[in-house]
Amino acid sequence: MFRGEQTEVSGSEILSTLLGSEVRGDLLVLFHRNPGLIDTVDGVARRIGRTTVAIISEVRELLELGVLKQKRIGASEVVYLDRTKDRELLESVANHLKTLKVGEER
Amino acid sequence: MSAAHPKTRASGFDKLFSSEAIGGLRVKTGIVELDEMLRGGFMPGDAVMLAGSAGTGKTTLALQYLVNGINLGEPGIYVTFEELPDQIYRDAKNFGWDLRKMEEEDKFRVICTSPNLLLESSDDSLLEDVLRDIQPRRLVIDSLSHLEMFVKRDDMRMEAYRVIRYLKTRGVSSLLLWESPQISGGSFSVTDVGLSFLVDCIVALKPVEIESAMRKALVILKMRGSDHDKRLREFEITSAGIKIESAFSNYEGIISGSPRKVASEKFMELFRGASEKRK
Amino acid sequence: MASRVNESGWNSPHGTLEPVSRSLSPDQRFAAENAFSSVLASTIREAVGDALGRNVLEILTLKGLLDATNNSKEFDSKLRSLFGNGAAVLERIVVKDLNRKLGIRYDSEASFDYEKSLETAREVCFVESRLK
Repeated sequence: MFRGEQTEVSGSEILSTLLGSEVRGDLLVLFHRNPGLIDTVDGVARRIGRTTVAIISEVRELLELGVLKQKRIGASEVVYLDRTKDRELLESVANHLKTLKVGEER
Repeated sequence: MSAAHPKTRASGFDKLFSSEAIGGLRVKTGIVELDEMLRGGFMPGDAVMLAGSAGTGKTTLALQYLVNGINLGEPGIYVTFEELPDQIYRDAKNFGWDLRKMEEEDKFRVICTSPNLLLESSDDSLLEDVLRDIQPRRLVIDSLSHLEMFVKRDDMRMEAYRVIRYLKTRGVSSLLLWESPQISGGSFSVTDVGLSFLVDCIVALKPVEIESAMRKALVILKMRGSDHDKRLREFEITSAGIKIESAFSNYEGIISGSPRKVASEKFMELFRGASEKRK
Repeated sequence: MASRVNESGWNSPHGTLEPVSRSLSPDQRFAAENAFSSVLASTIREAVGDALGRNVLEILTLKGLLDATNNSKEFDSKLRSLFGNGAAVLERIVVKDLNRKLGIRYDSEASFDYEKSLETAREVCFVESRLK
């Protein structure tokens, strides 16, 4: 159902994806505060007070970026944070932000 | 390292994890008085049930067990179903335990998942992945009682047995939390689904009312293959974690929920009172 | 405490609206402002750190972004200069956390205004100060 793609993306593009929507922000905070969370999309939706329908496309975006990974456990598909990839992506974001000046138009 | 105690009966399975096989080493909790009560610690590879009602300190004791294990070079995993890891990190910080730092050092993991996912058995099961990650020596499940929501009552014992057996075959010493409404009568049956017989050791925590104050009591109800302290000991949750105090030697009936001073103590009180009046 | 606070004031038992801040003494106002500033600053740090990591938080601190937390307009402007449309997502995370700490209900369906949300939170903080 979901496929992670390993393509090189710039810090700016990573930031646009990570902060692309309120739901994605919620997912990011949930998994960063709880990096050991392993659950189905239904379970994740419940934990952030939303429906599966509301989050499924957002989860797909984060899977494609690679910050979330999916796997099969028995009959269930689960998602979890890829800690290594997450660190790499946030490092790219940090490096991108270093080049920007506060107050200048983006 | 404590002296090994002879087992009353060693099955083929038990021999794999007998104290003789592992050189008599015990799995220390790191809580000095509790390790004394356990005659050195838990037996390696044992499944230990930590039972108690809500708020009795199960999570604190479990975290302390893992943190102390990490200090002894034994990585640990905390599996939670209900509480998010975020809350556990915060609770641990109150005791001075930086769990996030331990995770960064690959000595610790908090896994938050649904009970049904833990029960899924396959070559790529969640437990398999979790154990492969940091190869823990200790693992806590908070709590086994959550399985009841996902498993038929009749299947509960079988499912719990599968989890316990799996961890034993991997040489992991497990601490299984169980939320029990009450533990009374000195019975071994702290759960109502017959799990007491599956585990090797049962430590029970109980709130008690004594002289209009709520206090906490700890007792080792069962310990397969080893002697243990059979007394009820008072314990406190301090800023550094669980601290075990003296035994409730002046009281009886604590487990039954009706504590009263023992006759000899009552007599001494009367005697002291009479002496004071004469003065 | 979960309470309903009007945009500009607080419903008194007599039905009139008045900002709570006006009913506080200067000392109480000062203490309440400090308390709110402190809660807001720590909430912003936590929110940004949890969304984008500690490294990003450090960089933003060095760039002076967190110097402007008390001035919502200035903070919003600085955030947008760095994150563009992503600034609104970060602001929502801040407001959700702040509301949770202060017991204010967050409505994700309602239109979002960072400045107004902080004003509401400030009023609740002031009410709590008055009750102490």
